[in-house]
Amino acid sequence: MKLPMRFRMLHLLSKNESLSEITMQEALRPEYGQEGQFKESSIDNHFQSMLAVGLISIKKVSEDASGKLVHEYQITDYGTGRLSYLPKEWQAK
Amino acid sequence: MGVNTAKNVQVMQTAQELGHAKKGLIYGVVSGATWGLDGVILGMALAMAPFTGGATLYAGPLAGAAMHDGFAGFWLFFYNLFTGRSREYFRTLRTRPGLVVVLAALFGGPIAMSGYLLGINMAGASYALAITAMYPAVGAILAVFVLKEKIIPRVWAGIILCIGGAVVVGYVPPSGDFPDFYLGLAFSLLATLGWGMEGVLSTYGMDMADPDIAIGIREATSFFVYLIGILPIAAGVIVFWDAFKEVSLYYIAVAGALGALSYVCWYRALNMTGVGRAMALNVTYALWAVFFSWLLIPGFELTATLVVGAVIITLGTILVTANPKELLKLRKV
Repeated sequence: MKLPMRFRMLHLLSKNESLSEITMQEALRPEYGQEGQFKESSIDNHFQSMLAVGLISIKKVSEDASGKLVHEYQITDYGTGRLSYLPKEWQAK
Repeated sequence: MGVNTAKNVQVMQTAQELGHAKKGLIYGVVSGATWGLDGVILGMALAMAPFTGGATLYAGPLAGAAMHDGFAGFWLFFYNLFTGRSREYFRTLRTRPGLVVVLAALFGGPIAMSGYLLGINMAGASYALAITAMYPAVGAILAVFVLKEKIIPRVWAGIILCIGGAVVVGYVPPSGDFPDFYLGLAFSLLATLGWGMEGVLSTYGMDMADPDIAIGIREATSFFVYLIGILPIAAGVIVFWDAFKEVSLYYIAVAGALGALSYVCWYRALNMTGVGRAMALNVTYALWAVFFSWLLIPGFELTATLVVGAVIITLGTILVTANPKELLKLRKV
Protein backbone atom coordinates (compact mmCIF):
# COMPACT_ATOMS: atom_id res chain seq x y z
CA MET A 1 0.00 0.00 0.00
CA LYS A 2 1.13 3.54 -0.71
CA LEU A 3 2.39 5.82 2.05
CA PRO A 4 0.70 9.12 2.92
CA MET A 5 2.20 11.59 0.43
CA ARG A 6 4.07 13.67 3.05
CA PHE A 7 5.64 10.54 4.53
CA ARG A 8 6.59 9.31 1.05
CA MET A 9 8.32 12.63 0.40
CA LEU A 10 10.42 12.14 3.53
CA HIS A 11 11.15 8.56 2.45
CA LEU A 12 12.22 9.69 -1.03
CA LEU A 13 14.55 12.28 0.50
CA SER A 14 16.20 9.49 2.48
CA LYS A 15 16.91 7.64 -0.78
CA ASN A 16 18.34 10.65 -2.61
CA GLU A 17 21.07 13.08 -1.68
CA SER A 18 18.65 15.94 -2.29
CA LEU A 19 15.46 16.69 -4.22
CA SER A 20 13.96 19.94 -5.50
CA GLU A 21 10.28 20.83 -5.93
CA ILE A 22 10.57 19.74 -9.56
CA THR A 23 12.47 16.47 -9.06
CA MET A 24 10.20 15.57 -6.13
CA GLN A 25 7.14 16.12 -8.31
CA GLU A 26 8.60 13.82 -10.97
CA ALA A 27 9.46 11.18 -8.37
CA LEU A 28 5.92 11.27 -6.93
CA ARG A 29 4.12 11.36 -10.29
CA PRO A 30 4.02 7.58 -10.99
CA GLU A 31 2.39 6.89 -7.60
CA TYR A 32 0.28 9.97 -6.88
CA GLY A 33 -0.04 11.65 -10.29
CA GLN A 34 -3.67 10.61 -10.75
CA GLU A 35 -4.80 12.04 -7.40
CA GLY A 36 -6.29 15.47 -6.79
CA GLN A 37 -3.74 16.17 -4.04
CA PHE A 38 -0.89 15.95 -6.56
CA LYS A 39 -0.38 19.69 -6.95
CA GLU A 40 2.65 21.94 -6.84
CA SER A 41 1.10 23.92 -3.97
CA SER A 42 0.51 20.79 -1.85
CA ILE A 43 4.06 19.57 -2.39
CA ASP A 44 5.45 23.03 -1.54
CA ASN A 45 3.33 23.13 1.59
CA HIS A 46 4.57 19.71 2.77
CA PHE A 47 8.17 20.85 2.17
CA GLN A 48 7.61 24.07 4.16
CA SER A 49 6.04 22.23 7.11
CA MET A 50 8.76 19.56 7.23
CA LEU A 51 11.36 22.33 7.03
CA ALA A 52 9.82 24.29 9.94
CA VAL A 53 9.84 21.25 12.27
CA GLY A 54 13.39 20.25 11.31
CA LEU A 55 12.73 16.99 9.41
CA ILE A 56 14.48 18.41 6.34
CA SER A 57 16.87 21.25 5.57
CA ILE A 58 17.72 23.33 2.54
CA LYS A 59 20.92 22.26 0.80
CA LYS A 60 20.83 24.90 -1.90
CA VAL A 61 18.47 27.62 -3.06
CA SER A 62 18.53 29.43 -6.38
CA GLU A 63 16.32 31.56 -8.60
CA ASP A 64 14.96 30.18 -11.89
CA ALA A 65 14.47 32.14 -15.13
CA SER A 66 10.96 33.22 -14.09
CA GLY A 67 12.26 34.62 -10.77
CA LYS A 68 10.86 31.76 -8.68
CA LEU A 69 12.92 30.15 -5.93
CA VAL A 70 14.07 26.58 -6.52
CA HIS A 71 15.21 24.63 -3.44
CA GLU A 72 17.29 21.50 -3.06
CA TYR A 73 16.03 19.80 0.12
CA GLN A 74 17.82 17.13 2.12
CA ILE A 75 16.73 14.96 5.04
CA THR A 76 18.17 15.76 8.50
CA ASP A 77 19.27 13.24 11.18
CA TYR A 78 16.04 14.04 13.01
CA GLY A 79 14.07 13.21 9.86
CA THR A 80 16.02 10.00 9.33
CA GLY A 81 15.11 8.97 12.89
CA ARG A 82 11.41 9.29 12.03
CA LEU A 83 11.75 6.73 9.23
CA SER A 84 11.59 4.04 11.92
CA TYR A 85 7.84 4.72 11.87
CA LEU A 86 7.54 3.41 8.32
CA PRO A 87 5.34 0.32 7.92
CA LYS A 88 7.43 -2.88 7.78
CA GLU A 89 7.10 -3.39 4.02
CA TRP A 90 8.58 0.07 3.48
CA GLN A 91 11.51 -0.31 5.88
CA ALA A 92 13.52 -2.36 3.39
CA LYS A 93 12.65 -0.26 0.31
CA MET B 1 26.63 41.04 -9.22
CA GLY B 2 26.98 37.47 -7.90
CA VAL B 3 26.87 38.69 -4.30
CA ASN B 4 23.75 40.76 -5.00
CA THR B 5 22.01 37.77 -6.56
CA ALA B 6 22.86 35.59 -3.57
CA LYS B 7 21.56 38.30 -1.21
CA ASN B 8 18.39 38.61 -3.28
CA VAL B 9 17.80 34.85 -3.12
CA GLN B 10 18.35 34.87 0.66
CA VAL B 11 15.86 37.74 1.09
CA MET B 12 13.28 35.91 -1.04
CA GLN B 13 13.87 32.70 0.92
CA THR B 14 13.37 34.42 4.29
CA ALA B 15 10.22 36.10 2.94
CA GLN B 16 8.86 32.72 1.82
CA GLU B 17 9.52 31.07 5.20
CA LEU B 18 8.03 34.09 6.99
CA GLY B 19 4.95 33.88 4.77
CA HIS B 20 4.47 30.26 5.86
CA ALA B 21 4.87 31.18 9.54
CA LYS B 22 2.48 34.16 9.32
CA LYS B 23 -0.11 31.99 7.58
CA GLY B 24 0.14 29.64 10.58
CA LEU B 25 -0.55 32.52 12.99
CA ILE B 26 -3.60 33.58 10.94
CA TYR B 27 -4.88 29.98 11.05
CA GLY B 28 -4.46 30.08 14.85
CA VAL B 29 -6.57 33.25 15.19
CA VAL B 30 -9.26 31.90 12.81
CA SER B 31 -9.37 28.65 14.81
CA GLY B 32 -10.14 30.66 17.97
CA ALA B 33 -12.80 32.81 16.28
CA THR B 34 -14.62 29.90 14.62
CA TRP B 35 -14.43 27.82 17.83
CA GLY B 36 -16.05 30.74 19.69
CA LEU B 37 -18.90 30.95 17.16
CA ASP B 38 -19.18 27.14 17.15
CA GLY B 39 -19.61 27.18 20.95
CA VAL B 40 -22.35 29.82 20.80
CA ILE B 41 -24.34 27.87 18.18
CA LEU B 42 -23.76 24.55 19.95
CA GLY B 43 -24.98 26.21 23.17
CA MET B 44 -28.17 27.30 21.36
CA ALA B 45 -28.70 23.72 20.15
CA LEU B 46 -28.11 22.21 23.60
CA ALA B 47 -30.77 24.52 25.03
CA MET B 48 -33.36 22.90 22.71
CA ALA B 49 -35.11 19.53 22.63
CA PRO B 50 -34.04 16.74 22.94
CA PHE B 51 -30.77 17.82 24.59
CA THR B 52 -32.48 19.37 27.62
CA GLY B 53 -33.96 15.96 28.52
CA GLY B 54 -32.30 12.58 28.99
CA ALA B 55 -32.05 10.03 31.78
CA THR B 56 -28.81 11.48 33.21
CA LEU B 57 -27.45 15.00 33.54
CA TYR B 58 -24.70 14.27 31.01
CA ALA B 59 -26.84 12.51 28.41
CA GLY B 60 -27.80 15.70 26.53
CA PRO B 61 -24.38 17.43 26.43
CA LEU B 62 -22.56 14.19 25.56
CA ALA B 63 -25.05 13.32 22.80
CA GLY B 64 -24.60 16.88 21.51
CA ALA B 65 -20.80 16.55 21.63
CA ALA B 66 -20.99 13.22 19.76
CA MET B 67 -23.22 14.71 17.05
CA HIS B 68 -20.98 17.77 16.78
CA ASP B 69 -17.88 15.64 16.17
CA GLY B 70 -19.85 13.34 13.84
CA PHE B 71 -20.95 16.25 11.65
CA ALA B 72 -17.46 17.77 11.73
CA GLY B 73 -15.97 14.43 10.61
CA PHE B 74 -18.63 14.11 7.89
CA TRP B 75 -17.94 17.62 6.46
CA LEU B 76 -14.20 17.04 6.66
CA PHE B 77 -14.49 13.77 4.77
CA PHE B 78 -16.25 15.58 1.90
CA TYR B 79 -13.68 18.35 1.96
CA ASN B 80 -10.86 15.81 1.72
CA LEU B 81 -12.75 13.83 -0.92
CA PHE B 82 -13.14 16.89 -3.15
CA THR B 83 -9.52 17.88 -2.69
CA GLY B 84 -8.42 14.42 -3.85
CA ARG B 85 -7.20 13.11 -0.49
CA SER B 86 -9.78 10.49 0.54
CA ARG B 87 -7.26 7.62 0.12
CA GLU B 88 -4.89 9.34 2.53
CA TYR B 89 -7.20 8.33 5.43
CA PHE B 90 -6.38 4.61 5.10
CA ARG B 91 -2.74 5.21 4.21
CA THR B 92 -2.28 7.38 7.29
CA LEU B 93 -4.06 4.93 9.58
CA ARG B 94 -1.62 2.20 8.52
CA THR B 95 1.36 4.14 9.86
CA ARG B 96 2.40 4.74 13.46
CA PRO B 97 1.97 8.56 13.14
CA GLY B 98 -1.64 7.84 12.04
CA LEU B 99 -2.23 5.77 15.17
CA VAL B 100 -0.72 8.57 17.27
CA VAL B 101 -3.39 10.88 15.78
CA VAL B 102 -6.07 8.34 16.83
CA LEU B 103 -4.62 8.39 20.37
CA ALA B 104 -4.71 12.21 20.26
CA ALA B 105 -8.38 11.99 19.28
CA LEU B 106 -9.16 9.84 22.32
CA PHE B 107 -7.45 12.32 24.63
CA GLY B 108 -8.98 15.44 23.07
CA GLY B 109 -12.46 14.06 22.30
CA PRO B 110 -14.15 11.67 24.70
CA ILE B 111 -11.63 11.82 27.60
CA ALA B 112 -11.24 15.62 27.79
CA MET B 113 -14.85 16.48 26.94
CA SER B 114 -16.32 13.93 29.39
CA GLY B 115 -13.88 15.16 32.08
CA TYR B 116 -14.94 18.75 31.41
CA LEU B 117 -18.67 17.97 31.65
CA LEU B 118 -18.19 15.90 34.83
CA GLY B 119 -15.99 18.69 36.24
CA ILE B 120 -18.75 21.27 35.65
CA ASN B 121 -21.28 18.99 37.28
CA MET B 122 -19.23 18.08 40.36
CA ALA B 123 -17.19 21.25 41.03
CA GLY B 124 -19.19 23.99 39.28
CA ALA B 125 -18.56 25.80 36.00
CA SER B 126 -16.21 28.46 37.46
CA TYR B 127 -13.65 25.99 38.74
CA ALA B 128 -13.97 23.63 35.77
CA LEU B 129 -13.45 26.52 33.34
CA ALA B 130 -10.54 28.02 35.28
CA ILE B 131 -8.74 24.67 35.38
CA THR B 132 -9.44 23.59 31.80
CA ALA B 133 -8.44 27.02 30.41
CA MET B 134 -4.88 26.08 31.44
CA TYR B 135 -4.61 23.53 28.64
CA PRO B 136 -2.33 25.77 26.50
CA ALA B 137 0.22 25.85 29.35
CA VAL B 138 0.06 22.06 29.74
CA GLY B 139 0.40 21.66 25.97
CA ALA B 140 3.33 24.09 25.80
CA ILE B 141 5.19 22.36 28.66
CA LEU B 142 4.65 18.94 27.06
CA ALA B 143 5.76 20.34 23.68
CA VAL B 144 9.06 21.56 25.17
CA PHE B 145 9.84 18.05 26.43
CA VAL B 146 8.26 15.83 23.77
CA LEU B 147 8.79 17.92 20.62
CA LYS B 148 11.79 19.97 21.82
CA GLU B 149 9.81 23.07 20.86
CA LYS B 150 11.46 26.47 21.37
CA ILE B 151 9.34 28.82 23.48
CA ILE B 152 10.92 32.09 24.61
CA PRO B 153 9.91 33.99 27.83
CA ARG B 154 7.82 36.58 25.93
CA VAL B 155 5.70 33.83 24.36
CA TRP B 156 5.30 32.12 27.77
CA ALA B 157 4.02 35.46 29.11
CA GLY B 158 1.57 35.66 26.18
CA ILE B 159 0.32 32.11 26.80
CA ILE B 160 -0.23 32.91 30.51
CA LEU B 161 -2.09 36.15 29.66
CA CYS B 162 -4.34 34.34 27.16
CA ILE B 163 -5.18 31.74 29.83
CA GLY B 164 -5.75 34.44 32.46
CA GLY B 165 -8.02 36.35 30.07
CA ALA B 166 -10.01 33.21 29.26
CA VAL B 167 -10.55 32.59 33.00
CA VAL B 168 -11.66 36.21 33.60
CA VAL B 169 -14.08 36.14 30.63
CA GLY B 170 -15.72 32.89 31.74
CA TYR B 171 -15.68 33.49 35.48
CA VAL B 172 -18.98 33.21 37.32
CA PRO B 173 -18.92 33.34 41.15
CA PRO B 174 -19.33 29.79 42.48
CA SER B 175 -22.71 28.96 43.96
CA GLY B 176 -24.51 25.80 45.06
CA ASP B 177 -23.50 22.70 46.94
CA PHE B 178 -20.94 20.32 45.47
CA PRO B 179 -20.51 17.16 47.57
CA ASP B 180 -18.01 15.69 45.06
CA PHE B 181 -16.07 18.94 44.69
CA TYR B 182 -12.57 17.44 44.73
CA LEU B 183 -13.53 14.68 42.32
CA GLY B 184 -14.85 17.43 40.05
CA LEU B 185 -11.49 19.21 40.23
CA ALA B 186 -9.78 15.92 39.32
CA PHE B 187 -12.03 15.49 36.28
CA SER B 188 -11.34 19.09 35.21
CA LEU B 189 -7.63 18.38 35.52
CA LEU B 190 -8.10 15.25 33.41
CA ALA B 191 -9.75 17.39 30.71
CA THR B 192 -6.84 19.87 30.84
CA LEU B 193 -4.32 17.07 30.42
CA GLY B 194 -6.46 15.54 27.66
CA TRP B 195 -6.51 18.72 25.55
CA GLY B 196 -2.83 19.39 26.23
CA MET B 197 -1.93 15.84 25.19
CA GLU B 198 -4.10 16.09 22.08
CA GLY B 199 -2.15 19.06 20.79
CA VAL B 200 1.25 17.48 21.35
CA LEU B 201 0.38 14.01 20.07
CA SER B 202 -1.41 15.26 16.96
CA THR B 203 1.47 17.64 16.16
CA TYR B 204 3.88 14.72 16.52
CA GLY B 205 1.77 12.67 14.09
CA MET B 206 1.36 15.56 11.66
CA ASP B 207 5.12 15.79 11.13
CA MET B 208 4.50 12.98 8.64
CA ALA B 209 0.77 13.23 7.98
CA ASP B 210 -1.34 15.87 6.25
CA PRO B 211 -3.02 18.08 8.93
CA ASP B 212 -6.36 18.02 7.06
CA ILE B 213 -6.34 14.20 7.10
CA ALA B 214 -5.21 14.13 10.74
CA ILE B 215 -8.18 16.24 11.79
CA GLY B 216 -10.55 14.10 9.68
CA ILE B 217 -9.29 11.02 11.55
CA ARG B 218 -9.53 12.85 14.87
CA GLU B 219 -13.19 13.81 14.44
CA ALA B 220 -14.24 10.39 13.09
CA THR B 221 -12.45 8.55 15.94
CA SER B 222 -13.99 10.84 18.52
CA PHE B 223 -17.50 10.34 17.06
CA PHE B 224 -17.31 6.52 17.01
CA VAL B 225 -15.89 6.31 20.54
CA TYR B 226 -18.69 8.56 21.84
CA LEU B 227 -21.30 6.50 20.00
CA ILE B 228 -20.02 3.06 20.99
CA GLY B 229 -18.20 3.64 24.27
CA ILE B 230 -19.56 6.76 26.00
CA LEU B 231 -23.22 7.33 25.10
CA PRO B 232 -24.43 3.87 26.22
CA ILE B 233 -22.82 4.43 29.65
CA ALA B 234 -24.27 7.97 29.97
CA ALA B 235 -27.72 6.87 28.73
CA GLY B 236 -27.34 9.27 25.82
CA VAL B 237 -28.23 6.94 22.93
CA ILE B 238 -31.95 7.84 23.00
CA VAL B 239 -31.19 11.57 23.04
CA PHE B 240 -28.78 11.05 20.13
CA TRP B 241 -31.40 9.40 17.89
CA ASP B 242 -34.21 11.72 19.01
CA ALA B 243 -32.16 14.70 17.79
CA PHE B 244 -32.63 13.56 14.19
CA LYS B 245 -36.33 14.46 14.49
CA GLU B 246 -35.79 17.94 15.92
CA VAL B 247 -34.85 21.41 14.61
CA SER B 248 -31.77 21.37 16.85
CA LEU B 249 -30.20 18.97 14.33
CA TYR B 250 -29.70 21.86 11.88
CA TYR B 251 -27.97 23.92 14.56
CA ILE B 252 -25.63 21.02 15.35
CA ALA B 253 -24.92 20.53 11.64
CA VAL B 254 -23.89 24.20 11.35
CA ALA B 255 -21.87 23.99 14.58
CA GLY B 256 -20.20 20.84 13.19
CA ALA B 257 -19.22 22.71 10.02
CA LEU B 258 -17.75 25.54 12.12
CA GLY B 259 -16.02 22.97 14.32
CA ALA B 260 -14.53 21.33 11.23
CA LEU B 261 -13.23 24.69 9.98
CA SER B 262 -11.90 25.58 13.41
CA TYR B 263 -10.11 22.25 13.81
CA VAL B 264 -8.64 22.40 10.30
CA CYS B 265 -7.22 25.82 11.17
CA TRP B 266 -6.04 24.66 14.61
CA TYR B 267 -4.28 21.55 13.31
CA ARG B 268 -2.63 23.57 10.52
CA ALA B 269 -1.56 26.17 13.10
CA LEU B 270 -0.13 23.44 15.38
CA ASN B 271 1.85 22.16 12.43
CA MET B 272 2.98 25.56 11.16
CA THR B 273 3.52 27.64 14.33
CA GLY B 274 4.10 25.03 17.04
CA VAL B 275 1.95 23.81 19.94
CA GLY B 276 2.58 26.70 22.37
CA ARG B 277 1.50 29.49 20.01
CA ALA B 278 -1.33 27.59 18.32
CA MET B 279 -2.93 26.70 21.65
CA ALA B 280 -2.62 30.26 22.98
CA LEU B 281 -4.36 31.55 19.85
CA ASN B 282 -6.99 28.82 20.07
CA VAL B 283 -7.91 29.70 23.67
CA THR B 284 -8.93 33.19 22.46
CA TYR B 285 -12.23 31.43 21.63
CA ALA B 286 -13.38 32.63 25.09
CA LEU B 287 -13.17 36.22 23.81
CA TRP B 288 -14.76 35.41 20.44
CA ALA B 289 -17.61 33.55 22.15
CA VAL B 290 -18.46 36.73 24.07
CA PHE B 291 -18.39 38.77 20.86
CA PHE B 292 -20.62 36.34 18.96
CA SER B 293 -23.00 35.97 21.92
CA TRP B 294 -23.37 39.76 22.01
CA LEU B 295 -24.00 39.72 18.24
CA LEU B 296 -26.42 36.76 18.09
CA ILE B 297 -28.18 36.47 21.46
CA PRO B 298 -30.77 39.22 22.16
CA GLY B 299 -30.36 40.82 25.59
CA PHE B 300 -26.75 39.59 26.09
CA GLU B 301 -24.96 42.05 28.39
CA LEU B 302 -21.32 43.14 28.06
CA THR B 303 -20.04 43.38 31.64
CA ALA B 304 -16.85 44.99 32.96
CA THR B 305 -15.38 41.50 33.59
CA LEU B 306 -15.86 40.57 29.95
CA VAL B 307 -14.16 43.76 28.74
CA VAL B 308 -11.20 43.30 31.15
CA GLY B 309 -10.84 39.66 30.03
CA ALA B 310 -10.95 40.72 26.39
CA VAL B 311 -8.16 43.27 26.92
CA ILE B 312 -5.98 40.67 28.70
CA ILE B 313 -6.49 38.12 25.88
CA THR B 314 -5.67 40.72 23.24
CA LEU B 315 -2.42 41.63 25.04
CA GLY B 316 -1.53 37.95 25.33
CA THR B 317 -2.19 37.38 21.64
CA ILE B 318 0.07 40.31 20.72
CA LEU B 319 2.90 38.84 22.82
CA VAL B 320 2.46 35.40 21.25
CA THR B 321 2.40 36.63 17.66
CA ALA B 322 4.78 39.60 17.97
CA ASN B 323 7.76 38.30 16.04
CA PRO B 324 7.02 35.67 13.36
CA LYS B 325 10.77 35.43 12.61
CA GLU B 326 11.02 33.21 15.69
CA LEU B 327 8.85 30.70 13.83
CA LEU B 328 11.38 29.93 11.13
CA LYS B 329 12.80 27.09 13.24
CA LEU B 330 10.22 25.73 15.63
CA ARG B 331 12.29 23.10 17.41
CA LYS B 332 15.71 22.56 18.92
CA VAL B 333 16.63 19.67 16.60
